[in-house]
Amino acid sequence: MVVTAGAVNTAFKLVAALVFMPVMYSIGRQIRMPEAARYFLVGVVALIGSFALSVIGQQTGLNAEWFRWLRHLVVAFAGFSLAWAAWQARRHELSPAGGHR
Amino acid sequence: MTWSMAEDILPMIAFTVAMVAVLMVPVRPGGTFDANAKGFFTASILCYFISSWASILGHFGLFPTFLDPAVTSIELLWVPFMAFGVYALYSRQQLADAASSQHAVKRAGEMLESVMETAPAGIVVLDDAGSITFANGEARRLLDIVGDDPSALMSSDWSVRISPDHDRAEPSRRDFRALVVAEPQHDTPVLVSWPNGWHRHLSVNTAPFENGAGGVGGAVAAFVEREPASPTHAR
Repeated sequence: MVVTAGAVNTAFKLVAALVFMPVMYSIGRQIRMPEAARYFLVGVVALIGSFALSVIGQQTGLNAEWFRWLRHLVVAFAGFSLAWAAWQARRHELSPAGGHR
Repeated sequence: MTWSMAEDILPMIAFTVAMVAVLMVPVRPGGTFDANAKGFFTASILCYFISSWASILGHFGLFPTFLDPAVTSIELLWVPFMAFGVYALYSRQQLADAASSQHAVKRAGEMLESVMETAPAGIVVLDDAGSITFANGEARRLLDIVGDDPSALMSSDWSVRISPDHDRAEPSRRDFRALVVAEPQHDTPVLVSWPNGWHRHLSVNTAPFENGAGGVGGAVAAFVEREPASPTHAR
């Protein structure tokens, strides 16, 4: 089995994400913005999922159209989830309890 | 437009929206987001924003191929940026909590001080040896304490006698040690005398407080004069 540079890169991202994930999760849980934290977590998990799909695709040679679409959809889902998390964070910051105590 | 290009457009739109949303999060005094958190989140999303745009431009042949490894490297940075962003958010929250607690303690202290100063009764805080460590305005008047500095509290020349009318009256002392006991006291008669023969009869309530070891660390005593000051009592 030939390991491509792209697969190594993606695998590195995947491992880094999995290593950082518990740290991010445990710290993120303590941040009092539950809505933002939930969608942030979903976004990060989706990105990690896209890494996993990418590694699978690169190593198995599976590059069918539906597979590429699936991977891009997961990445897009992650992006929209992070966008929604940022929007929820914005709402929190603009609320009376969010700032100017 | 090819299918592969359509695939890339969707993530590009998503991360563009995410980028705009993160940039719209306000940085406010006392808020959870500070410039560091916003910067790290922006940088993290920027990684994929750049990557998405590089793919789109690549379809038109507008993205230089020699930059492909750079884009790949940029994507690697999203994880640490994201982690730093979360940590910065958490640190800011902790700092905001500490500042808020400090403000609450300060406000409570100021309120307590106002209550002490406006109370019609004399209020003193006694340490475990019965020495006065704090006296409000009325206490200073009743005990003839002159001056605001702490040494004025220590230099008074009175003698204190607890339950002077009682058969088991305490001997005279130079401090209020007899009031620093484990149980709260109510309406305890106290005679405070000065060397020139002037004296005051006080009715004292006390509430003890603990020290760090669980013993009596001192007491708060509130008192009023038992009988109006008469000319013979005036100093």
